Amino acid sequence: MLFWVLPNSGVGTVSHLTALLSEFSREYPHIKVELAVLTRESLWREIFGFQREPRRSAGADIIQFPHYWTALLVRLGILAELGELDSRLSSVTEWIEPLRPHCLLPGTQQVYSVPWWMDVSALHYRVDHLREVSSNPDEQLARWDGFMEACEALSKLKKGGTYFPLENSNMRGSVTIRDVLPCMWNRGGDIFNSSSTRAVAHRDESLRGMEDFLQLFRKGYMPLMRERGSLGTLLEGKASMTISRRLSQSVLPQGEEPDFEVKTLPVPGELFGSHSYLSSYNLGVARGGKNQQEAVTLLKWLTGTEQQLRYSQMIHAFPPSTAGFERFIFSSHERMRTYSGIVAGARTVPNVMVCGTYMTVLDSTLSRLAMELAKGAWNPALLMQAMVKVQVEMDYLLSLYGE
Amino acid sequence: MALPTELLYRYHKELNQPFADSRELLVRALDLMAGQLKLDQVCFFDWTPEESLLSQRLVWRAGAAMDMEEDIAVAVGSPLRAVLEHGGVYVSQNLNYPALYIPVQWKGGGRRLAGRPETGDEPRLGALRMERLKKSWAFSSREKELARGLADELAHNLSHAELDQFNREQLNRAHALNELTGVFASSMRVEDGMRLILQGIQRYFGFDRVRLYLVSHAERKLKGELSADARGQVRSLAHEQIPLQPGVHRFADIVLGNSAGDAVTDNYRETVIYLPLTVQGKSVGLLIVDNLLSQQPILQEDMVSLSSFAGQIALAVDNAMLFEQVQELSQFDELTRLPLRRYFNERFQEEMYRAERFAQPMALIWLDIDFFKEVNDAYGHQIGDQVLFEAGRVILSNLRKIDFPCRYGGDEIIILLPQARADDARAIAARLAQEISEIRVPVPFAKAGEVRVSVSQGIATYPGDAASGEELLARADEALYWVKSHGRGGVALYSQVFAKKPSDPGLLPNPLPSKKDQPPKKQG
Repeated sequence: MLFWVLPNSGVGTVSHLTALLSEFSREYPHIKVELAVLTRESLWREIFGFQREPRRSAGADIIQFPHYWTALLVRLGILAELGELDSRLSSVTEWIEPLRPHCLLPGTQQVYSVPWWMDVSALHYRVDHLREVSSNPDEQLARWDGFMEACEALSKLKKGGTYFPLENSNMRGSVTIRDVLPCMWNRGGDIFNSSSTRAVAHRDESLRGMEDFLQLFRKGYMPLMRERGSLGTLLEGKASMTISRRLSQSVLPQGEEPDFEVKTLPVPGELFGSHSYLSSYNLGVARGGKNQQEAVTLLKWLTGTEQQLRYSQMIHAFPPSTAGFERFIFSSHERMRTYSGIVAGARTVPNVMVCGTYMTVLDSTLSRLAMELAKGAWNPALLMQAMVKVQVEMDYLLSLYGE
Repeated sequence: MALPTELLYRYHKELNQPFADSRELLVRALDLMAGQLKLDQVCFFDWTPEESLLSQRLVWRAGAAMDMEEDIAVAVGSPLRAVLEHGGVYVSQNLNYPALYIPVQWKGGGRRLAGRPETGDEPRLGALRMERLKKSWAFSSREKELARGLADELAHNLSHAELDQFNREQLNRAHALNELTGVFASSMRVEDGMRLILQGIQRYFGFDRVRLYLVSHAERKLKGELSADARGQVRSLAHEQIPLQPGVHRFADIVLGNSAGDAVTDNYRETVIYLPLTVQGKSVGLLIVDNLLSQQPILQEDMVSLSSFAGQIALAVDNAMLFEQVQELSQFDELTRLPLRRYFNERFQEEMYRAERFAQPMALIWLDIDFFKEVNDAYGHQIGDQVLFEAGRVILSNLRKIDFPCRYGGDEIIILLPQARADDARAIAARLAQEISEIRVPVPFAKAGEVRVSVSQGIATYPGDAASGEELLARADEALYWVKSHGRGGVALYSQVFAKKPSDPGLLPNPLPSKKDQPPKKQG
């Protein structure tokens, strides 16, 4: 059975999953699981390639994908309806409420995917570093301008070397729309209008939010497109903060007790409050796959509360079931205090057919803009021009493929 | 450690075998490299000098290859850039463990993206990053030399693998085009030729969407026909009608040959292809293929294949249009635009079946133009044709959507009225009689200067008057005969004129043409 997974824990993906699946193999020795780690980009390419030439590609039996791809994958005929394969998978009530619509074909109650794990953006900071520049970091970092002032102060304080006030948590070392969305929402912007029928990434409030985030690169507070692992880690003291969707432990070596404290706060807010980006990574079974029953068995095993908790812990993410999340959050007072508020203010992107394309286009546009930033050739008009083009293209696609 | 030449030979042998694609080759090569150089991790990057970007494609670590992402902006003038441009080995100064960058340059397999200018056989560029995660374990000069040798061997094999892959794809493309030719040929013989053409293009080329617009020269419009999507589902584009005038719409400009590319088309040049269709210099349509949903660039080879096929597609589209015209000619009367007898018979059977199956009423009007033979004889066939044309126009514009008229032969017209009872049929017949009586066909050389038209109509109903289709036709004909034998210009219901006394109001008075309007009686 072939399992297409995303690089959930970077280069550690295979070793983490191998450890997890060794237990599955003990329970189900007759089911052999082969892993293929694909990036979003290569997964997207494979899915369309498979959809076009199913006979020529070695398609997966079970697929991990971002939650907002569900509608598209169903419409492309890639996913099997889970309720038809196993009646226990026909309900979505066990998942936390914001993730439920992302399991369904929009407009129906038919379940096509289930969340495996989720992440949510937050600001993590080294208390020892921030105390050097702020008398009350929690208060100062609650707002974007206070956060920028702290970045400026830290950047002056820790001059030289490979120090940056912020560690870039983006796996690519660049910037994606998922990094930028909280800033857009905090400015009152978004990528879709409220009914998800129009693209609005070009509007002033959306552009201001994007500019907020891109300022972090422009002002040199966060590294952009540098060699991974070459600089700017909290652990080494070469960074003081990070806006990350994983738990703060992700910045620390596994099993080691740090001699400094890391605190977690919501993403610094703006006029429209403080929002986090909540996303889940769902599992679906390929329609017409040769090993559907085995795939269902694995899917159910991986998304069971115990395995969810275990895997989420391995990769410093969050379990998406209500029971799992409650167990996670109630495991410490600190977690409850920090994450109950962050998750309550979290938002997500809609599960509509064009959302995957929209996010892909926004990612490649931001990547091109990041190149300009890295080359020092940034011009504010570039962002607006690029987003107007994106809006025109997306409105057109929405007119064709809108729900 | 064995001599580099022996290791290189072993490596060469391992890679010198067929691989499904360049990824499969890379996975094997990185695995071998890691073993030979005792590496903890090896990454393969694509190198785009014009964007100064190293973009990670693949990582090998602990025996597993993974697609992974890492973007590195390489500054102009930096030592890494110098190595990437001129060759050699660069030892990373930023990572806190030993890591080497080695450029890899190979000949591409000829694949290019649509919309990109022809640049000749430019080499493909990449780089390897070989990593040892233990700080103390630096690379010796000999290991660096071996690393370069392995990179060169990889480049050599990448050229072969990509060329093989390209050739296989070309072969598949050729097979696909061959099959597509069959589809195009068969499209002449099938009713839904356009649908087959679109599905064929979508299926064989694997585009997200294929759209077809047809040129209507008579209406000077570009009319949406059909669209086939990634799942092969076909939708009508009939709601899209574009005036075929310069500057009105991008599509119209492309068909008219006035499009030199604009901001919109430039923006999508890698994901949308516009293909004007012409037959012997005459525009017949516009084919648009796109990959907007998947955002996958369209390959130059696909664009070339499709363009070289444009003539055949245009011919197939033209054939399908001609086929439709022929179909229409065989089903509809060219003069009156009314369906012909054969088409009527098919429809009559269906409607009879439906009426019987669902116990629904049905009526039939048999209509005859009064003194039509005399009009022809007195004023010629041109005037007779005009009378028929006008009668057809009036009939078509005065019926319900479900009614089905037919030119049954000569000046005889039959109208099938599904779900109609005797009263409904009589009302329709009265309206037709009234409207037809208002027809004026100018005849400049006649004394009256015009011809007026009247009709006789016989009506029969199912199941009241007849138990079958044949009976229904026969009863309506008998009712018509009754009208004609009682002075013409009226409407008769079979049930009333034959089942009751002639004095019953079965016969409706019709505004008969006055004597002066009637054609002269034929001499002799």
